[in-house]
Amino acid sequence: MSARSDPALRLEDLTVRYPAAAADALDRVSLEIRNGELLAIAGPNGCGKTTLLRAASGVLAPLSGRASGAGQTHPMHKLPPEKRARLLAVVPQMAGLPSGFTVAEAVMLGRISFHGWFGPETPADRESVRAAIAAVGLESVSGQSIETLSGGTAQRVLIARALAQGASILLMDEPTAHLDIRFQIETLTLLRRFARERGHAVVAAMHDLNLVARFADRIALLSGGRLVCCGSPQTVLTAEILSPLFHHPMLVVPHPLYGYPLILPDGEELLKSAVKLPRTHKKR
Amino acid sequence: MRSIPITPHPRISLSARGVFFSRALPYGLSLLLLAAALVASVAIGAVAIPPGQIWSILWRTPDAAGIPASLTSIVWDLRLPRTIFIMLLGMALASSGAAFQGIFRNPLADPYLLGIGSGASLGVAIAITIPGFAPASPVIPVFAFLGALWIVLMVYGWARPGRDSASSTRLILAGVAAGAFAQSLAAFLFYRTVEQTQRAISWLMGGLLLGGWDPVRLSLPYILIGILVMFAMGRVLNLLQFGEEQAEQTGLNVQRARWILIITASMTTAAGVAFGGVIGFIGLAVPHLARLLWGGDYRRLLPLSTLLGASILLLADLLARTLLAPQQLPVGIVTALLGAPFFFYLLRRNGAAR
Repeated sequence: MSARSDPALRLEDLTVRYPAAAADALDRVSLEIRNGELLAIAGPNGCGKTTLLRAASGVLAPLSGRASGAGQTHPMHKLPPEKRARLLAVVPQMAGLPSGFTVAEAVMLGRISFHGWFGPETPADRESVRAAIAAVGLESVSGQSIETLSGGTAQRVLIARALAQGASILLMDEPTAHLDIRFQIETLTLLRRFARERGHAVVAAMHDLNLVARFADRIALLSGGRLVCCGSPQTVLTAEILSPLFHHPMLVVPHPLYGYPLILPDGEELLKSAVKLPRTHKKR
Repeated sequence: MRSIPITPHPRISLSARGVFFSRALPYGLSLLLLAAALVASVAIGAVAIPPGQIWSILWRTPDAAGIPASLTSIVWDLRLPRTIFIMLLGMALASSGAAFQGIFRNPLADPYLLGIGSGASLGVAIAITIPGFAPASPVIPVFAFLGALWIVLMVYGWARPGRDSASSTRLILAGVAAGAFAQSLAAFLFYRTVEQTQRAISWLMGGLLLGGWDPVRLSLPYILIGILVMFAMGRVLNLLQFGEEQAEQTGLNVQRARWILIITASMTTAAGVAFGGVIGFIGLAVPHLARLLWGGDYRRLLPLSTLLGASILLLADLLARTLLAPQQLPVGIVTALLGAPFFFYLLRRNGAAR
């Protein structure tokens, strides 16, 4: 185990360029992700959120710079997949799931780095799968085929598979993209709990700034492949930063009950209509 | 906050006995069908031999003495080797078809449409052209494998599957083109060199090149090893169904897994094609049928497809032998007649899904 101050995942000057692309998809991004925190990656479409997750997970080799796990001398993309999978688990953007597997069978696939291609499933594997399914609250459907599940439930199957990998870093690509409001909040509550209670380092690429404001410990804002700023919701989610970033006027007010920033698009219109609202959230 | 309620879908709870039967039933049915197909294949022909007599001949029971030697010879030298080879061929084509569909995540990937069967036949044609090589030489399957591998590398290199959604279509187009090329080249070589052109052309369309036990003896090791390796890769194939990137992020060395599977499936196909000719649609249709009936888990799909493939090819061969008796049709013609409509059905279904 690494020292407590060591980041779980460190990105150093990570630069990625896709073949035949004119510009870098990711331009010298440096970030440290610590155990126990939920870090949101936000920014306009095409800013490099998904690329950052792919490069951090090691499936994409960077042009320069590196992504490395705590205590690892080799960068992520140089590690064999089976070793990577135990350091870091990825929950992809929800897409169609293949048919023919039960929830438990799909989650068991997350254990392949433990029992290998041919080895039998051990009691430890089964226990880990059971625990992962329990952690996302899917015990009641563990014998059911995954293609019969609703989007929110299917998303949780993929989260459970990631947990079964036994990795301490979780990378999530748009974990709430296809979910309704209830499932959005449930999923993010779950992720924050994994960070707080189990000490996971959770990184989530997200679009919904209000969900980011409510759930993230820190936010990294990207634009054009570059890191604009990184910090707490209060320091990063301000009208001064967001309006130019999204090329759209925003109004940021504190939540009337909880105090986290509320981001309201079309802020100028609201101000013009003489509604009495506090101008901007106070910086701490 | 502790637990988040999920609305459970209504689910039939199965008792332990129920689970056993639901798991074992597909295997039982497939084995039963295979047994019936095997018996029918030995029993039916120009001379019908009742199953009781086949039993006596095979186990040399005391009452076998009363059976004419000609019947014994038909069973041992003609029907049995052909039946066993056709069974192996059906197993090889169906299992490698299932594996290719899983490797490329493409419902149309099969040894025939990917051009691999034709590549193998080109290898055989080249081997036979070399003076001094008999059709029963043990190098024939090796040449077939090299031909198949050549086509696979060409098709795979050109289509680069998995990168984008169009690559799936490219893969099949490349396979069909490369397959047509290889098959024509093989036919050209046959016309130039082989005296028995008629027989060779019939082989290209899926007729047996040789009678007797040689095809069984020479192809059995490759097919058996290939099938067993593919069976063992069921879990790997399952993970591949979630896509290349997810599989890698879950801890699978995707490149290694893909190549092992491609080489194994090509070897299995080639060993069958070397003596059975290019037989289409078994590798395409049988895994689909198995998937429709029993689901997409490759740990089950592979063995079930293998059993089903053997039964279906045996029945197709029976038709090929009896439809125009005493003339024998190449079995590939029968599988194409039965399989092509199924192929159109798949195309329609795929079109509707998009």
